[in-house]
Amino acid sequence: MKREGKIKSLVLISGLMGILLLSLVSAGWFGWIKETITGKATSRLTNVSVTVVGADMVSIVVHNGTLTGDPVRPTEEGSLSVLFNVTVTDTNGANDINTSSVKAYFLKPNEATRQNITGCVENSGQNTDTSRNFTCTITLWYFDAPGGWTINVSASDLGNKSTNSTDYYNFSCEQLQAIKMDPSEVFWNSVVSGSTNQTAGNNTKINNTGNYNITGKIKVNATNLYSGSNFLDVGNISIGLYTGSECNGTFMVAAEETTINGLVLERGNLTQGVSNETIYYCLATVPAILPSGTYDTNTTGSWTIKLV
Amino acid sequence: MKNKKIFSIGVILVMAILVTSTVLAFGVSSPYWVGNPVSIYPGETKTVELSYQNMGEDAEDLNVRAEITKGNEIASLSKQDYFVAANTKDTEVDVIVSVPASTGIGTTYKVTLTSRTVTPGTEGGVGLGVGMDTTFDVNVTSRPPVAPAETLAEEPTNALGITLFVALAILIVAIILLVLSRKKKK
Repeated sequence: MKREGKIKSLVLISGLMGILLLSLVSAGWFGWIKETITGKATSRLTNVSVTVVGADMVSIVVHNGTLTGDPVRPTEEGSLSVLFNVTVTDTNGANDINTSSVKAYFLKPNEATRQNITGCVENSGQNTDTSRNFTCTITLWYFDAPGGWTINVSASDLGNKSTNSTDYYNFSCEQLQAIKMDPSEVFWNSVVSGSTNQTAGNNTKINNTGNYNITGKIKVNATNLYSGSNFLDVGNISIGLYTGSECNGTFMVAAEETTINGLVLERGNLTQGVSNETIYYCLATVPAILPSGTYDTNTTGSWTIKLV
Repeated sequence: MKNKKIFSIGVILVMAILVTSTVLAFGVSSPYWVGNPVSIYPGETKTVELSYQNMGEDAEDLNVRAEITKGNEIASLSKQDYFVAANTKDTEVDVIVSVPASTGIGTTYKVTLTSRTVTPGTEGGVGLGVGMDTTFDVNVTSRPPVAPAETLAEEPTNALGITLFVALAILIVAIILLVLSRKKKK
């Protein structure tokens, strides 16, 4: 009887030791056994990071989704404030984050860096024990290049005074083809039949107000000028790029798109005096047989200055 | 005397009366352009959203007529005429791109949207309007593979662990058998 008890104890201890050993060998064994029997797993691989408190630098997450989600759309001859949110995490505790250190930049090769010098603004009421949320605002201009831009954000830690930065977040800026014409009419003062080289009373200033390079891409679709049933063929009208050159410039062809050669209208900052051109008009020949009258585009419709 | 006569009867006026000077501002923004194509697979239909802008201090309301002038075998517009209010930048223009199912992978198209301001003819002068050709590439690509259902990560097999487990199981079974056999003997 005593021996039987010993054997039972031995069996019990062996069983317990087996279970204990199994547990120690692998935390996944129960799952493995269950998966083997039922075909269902109880767990999956999970990445777990272990943090040693005391010396970690901050980590940064840029929430791309807080941009428009779609490509950013620049504004014709204007600026666009691009807002996005950033979370800065410090495993040592959020109090360790230097809240005035959070800076954001938009980067693109061969482009001026866009940034907000004053930095990102902390969003109060969104704090956690280990993180702070910030809203960053950066201005994009109408002449900033279309395509992919990189968002770079940096932040620093008060504790170990290190700065971390990240630049693997991206967004896209749309292409903007845009021009501004001033004024949108052309006029001649009185001219005499049979005369030549009559410069128009005004000219047209063309500004490139987008981020598309327009150099060599401006065409004019001109129509004949009518006075009743009489018309002045636009083949007599020339467009030049400089005052004094207009009468030997590019001659128009009725109802056809004629390229104005020599126009330089790269994208750029208009306030710096670039990205604009003025075109001058000349009635090179006034046909002698043309009856008196007011010749205009009222019958055939306006001319079109076209960007291609 | 002759000259005077010519002057009196031969004078023509081209825009003798200048209408109020106006500024014309117009823009088209597009998420795609030449070199930044739309990808589409055979049989797919996509809507490319462009937008008209009419921004600026002196901007006036515009009427714009749109037309697909290139690539109209695959592209169409939901409408042709647009009113673009002054100081707006969000008049949407939907270009619907639809590629037949039989289109070969790697086929490329160019689509051009031509937009023109509809400007009155201007009595007494030459009126000017603005036009724009907005061109973008369309690349026909293979249908993206259907994302496989999330597969459960397999537990790492630990040869040593398995061996230990088997050994323990054998040991336990052996002990049980031993106990049972001794009971029988009794």
